[in-house]
This record gives sequence, C-alpha cells and structure tokens, in this order.
Amino acid sequence: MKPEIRFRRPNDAEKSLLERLLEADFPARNELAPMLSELLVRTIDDDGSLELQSQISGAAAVVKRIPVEAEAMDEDQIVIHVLLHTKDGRPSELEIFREDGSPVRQMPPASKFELIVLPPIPSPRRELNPR
Amino acid sequence: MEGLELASEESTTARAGKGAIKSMSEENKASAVTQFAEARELKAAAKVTFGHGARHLVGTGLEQSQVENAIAEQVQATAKAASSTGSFLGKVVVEGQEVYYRAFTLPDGTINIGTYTVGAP
Repeated sequence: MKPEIRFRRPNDAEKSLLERLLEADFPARNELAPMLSELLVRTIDDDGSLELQSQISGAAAVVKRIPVEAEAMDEDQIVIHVLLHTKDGRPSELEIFREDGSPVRQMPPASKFELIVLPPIPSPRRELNPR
Repeated sequence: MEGLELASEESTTARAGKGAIKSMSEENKASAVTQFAEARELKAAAKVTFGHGARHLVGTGLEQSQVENAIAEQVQATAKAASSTGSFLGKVVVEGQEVYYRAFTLPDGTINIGTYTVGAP
C-alpha cells in the first residue's frame, strides 16, 4: 500500500473496520460515530494506516487519545493492531501495525478483529489536604 | 520498517574474560567459557526497533532521534533487569513531555516499539 497525497472516500474494507471499532462501548462513542460515518481518508504508510478527516463538525468528549482499538492475527499468526486516534475530540488517525514491525501480509476481515477498550492511565495521585 | 536500530553491545567484562582464558589451565577453561557466555548473554543490550510512532511528534517540538534514543535506553534497561519482557507499555519523559510507547518482544529477542504517542494514549 502506498501513501497517498489526496484525501478520498474510504473503501469498503476501511469502512467495515471503522464500523467494527464502533461496536465497542467506550466514552464518546455516540459522538464519534457520526464523525466516522462521514469522513475522508488518506493512506499514510505501507501498513494501510489512514489519516482521517471527518466532514462532520464538533468535538467528542473522549477521555483518551486512543478511545478504542482492536487486534487480529495476520496469516502468519503475528498480531495486527488497529488503533483509532483522536485529536481535540476528533478522529485523526486509524493506525495499523504488526507487532514485529514488518508490513501487514493479509488484512483480516473486520469481523475477525477483537475489540479492546483500555482504561485511562491514572494521573499522579494528588495530595489530600495539602498545607 | 523505518526507524532506528541499536546494535547489541558486547560488554567490557565479557571482552576481558575472553582474553583471560589463554592463561588458564585446561580444566578451568570450560568453566571460564561458560561464565563468559553467561556474562555476554546478561550484558548484551537488546536490539530495539521502531515502527511509525514518529509521525505523532508533529507539533510537539520533539525530535524523533531524542525520543527514540530515550525509549531505547529505557527498554534496554528494562530488558536487562527482567528475566523476560513480552509485551508492555512504557513511558519516558523527554523535554518535560510524556511519551508513551508499546513494546513487543520478538522471538529473536528484538524489542519492537510498535508505536508511541505524546501524552497518555
């Protein structure tokens, strides 16, 4: 897959993957859903990662940069990770990579991806009753 | 894959041990060779490779080399101290900014940093 200069409509496989991610229950999911249904994309690396440009205005109240992610096995059993990135409450990137860093061989169908919603990383403990 | 590769380093201790074998008796050689091999295994730094996290540095003012050097240093220190590493999340602070990374240990011992982000992921 070659990086692209121009934004375009997502293809069926890309749409399916984005829709699969929305099957998870995570904070701001309902606000992100319409943004992801109307967007333009641009391939940005050999793995098929996408830069996302939603055509819907607004910002979702996400609590994490990566509100949802997914993983599935490539044809050689190496795990492929898919991460939905947001920036300022808007979808910004669909990042795709294999754990071993080599190019994805055969992207599995969206239905094969297991959904993951990681808890937010805790902020440093605040001192109680500071004096 | 784009990015930085850090070659394994043979420690000073291990190199000194190799030269010392010449003056040993035959019966001590096998033991010394074993100790040398163990020292080399313990001291060798893990090879660290990077995926496409660098694009997440846009607008942060951080440079790819400084971030990836900091991550590699921490990952190698972690690997040295651990009996096994597997997959793990880590954090380094570069120029006052927190960079979070995802590390995956490969069968040959290489640790691949799949991605990293500035700020909590």
